[in-house]
Amino acid sequence: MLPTTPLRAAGVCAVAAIWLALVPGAAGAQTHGSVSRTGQGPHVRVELIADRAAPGPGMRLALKFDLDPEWHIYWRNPGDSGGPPEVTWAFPPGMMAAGLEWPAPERIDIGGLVNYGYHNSVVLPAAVAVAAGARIPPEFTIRASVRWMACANLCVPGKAELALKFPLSAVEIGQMSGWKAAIDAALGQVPKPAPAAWKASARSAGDTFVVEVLTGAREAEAVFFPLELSQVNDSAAQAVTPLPDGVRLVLRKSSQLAKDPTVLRGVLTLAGGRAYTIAAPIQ
Amino acid sequence: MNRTTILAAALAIAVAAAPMTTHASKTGAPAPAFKGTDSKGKVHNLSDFKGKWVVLEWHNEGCPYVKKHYGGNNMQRLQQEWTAKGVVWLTVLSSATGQQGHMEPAQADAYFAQKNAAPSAILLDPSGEIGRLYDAKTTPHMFVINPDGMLVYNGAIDDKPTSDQVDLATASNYVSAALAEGMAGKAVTKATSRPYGCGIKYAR
Repeated sequence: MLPTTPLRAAGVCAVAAIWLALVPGAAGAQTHGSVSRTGQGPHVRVELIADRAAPGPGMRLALKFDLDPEWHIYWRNPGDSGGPPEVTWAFPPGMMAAGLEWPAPERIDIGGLVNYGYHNSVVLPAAVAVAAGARIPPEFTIRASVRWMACANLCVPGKAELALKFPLSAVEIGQMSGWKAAIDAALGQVPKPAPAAWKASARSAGDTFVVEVLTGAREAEAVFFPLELSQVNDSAAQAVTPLPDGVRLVLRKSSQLAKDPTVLRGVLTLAGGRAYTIAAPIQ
Repeated sequence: MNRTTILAAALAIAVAAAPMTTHASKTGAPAPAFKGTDSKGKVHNLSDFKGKWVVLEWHNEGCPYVKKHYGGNNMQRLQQEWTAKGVVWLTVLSSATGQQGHMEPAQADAYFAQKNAAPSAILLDPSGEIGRLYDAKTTPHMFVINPDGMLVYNGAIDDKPTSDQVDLATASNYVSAALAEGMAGKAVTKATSRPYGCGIKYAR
């Protein structure tokens, strides 16, 4: 037993060193035992932020992405191509994160194919829960293993190992108000459930879905972002007709759609930066 | 009563038939008849392959999702496995001239040889004609056509829509599943899926 232990340890070190040499960007701070809150890949910088200095009810963490001009990353449904960022969290026992919350995306036309995503900068928050009775030690680290696809005309994948060490440093506490403002702003852009008074319905007409959303007021602009993959043809133009009390959209069906769904779920963005999730039963 | 039934039936047929004109690449329907020139200058028509299984693979060498499948030797292995069983495997390049993934004939031959790729032919489609005929969206976007010329699979290569090679080990391959079921005389269970990858760099 005894002689094998150092050998095995040496083997692990060698494998790790080779892996670090071969994988660009893999030499993250985490593997060296220190902690980095920020990371980057080609055309993308990412950081892990929080909206408070100590875990408690309502705490949110977030991934803040800053992109080079022209580059975008993806919404939860990426559209015709690409893929959404993914995160794997590591917490001390008793802490856990809900799924990422997604601000309303933009339609991004790349040579006739349409993606749903974000330019410039986007913050993706995640609510954190602490189990009742959990004893969170005074010093702990939250880690986020993040991977993403960034595209302009071309696409480049990226990954980063991020970590936020508590208690936060004085510098980090100084940045806290900016972090909280960024997270609050992102939450303000996350689509809200459609008001109960609204009526959303859809019907299947040949190779299109005709969706009507009655909001009680004329809606001059609207864009539908499908939450499910392969229902709506992402690249087809959406024909939008304002109605006296809402809006009508004609959406082309996806060529991947084998059978009409019973309901179309999506995000509807309206003039003035309003965004709502809707579920339109197909009648 | 009778008249209503007939009218309803007629409407149902009209509705069912309507998508055929716009969804040229619908599974269960005849695969669109294409004509294309390969890297050796040989012209191929889909009808040339009647009686054989055909796979169409859309390709762009610079796309990270394609690199995942070629870097991990996954695509080459599929090409070898299925062409050995008599499948005609056509790798299609629909990137426009000057766009990522575009290749001239000699360049394509050298590149695929260097990758140890084993397609039956490399179709060069810089006009995007074949790609648009099939409504191919991404690289890799995969299609499977049966010996009767019917499209039996349209979609992703597998169920792990990422660009990370680590995901190959746990992926379930939709193309292999479609070919295996089809060759066994069974209906293809998963006939469509959302294709994943990079958007094809079509001529505008």
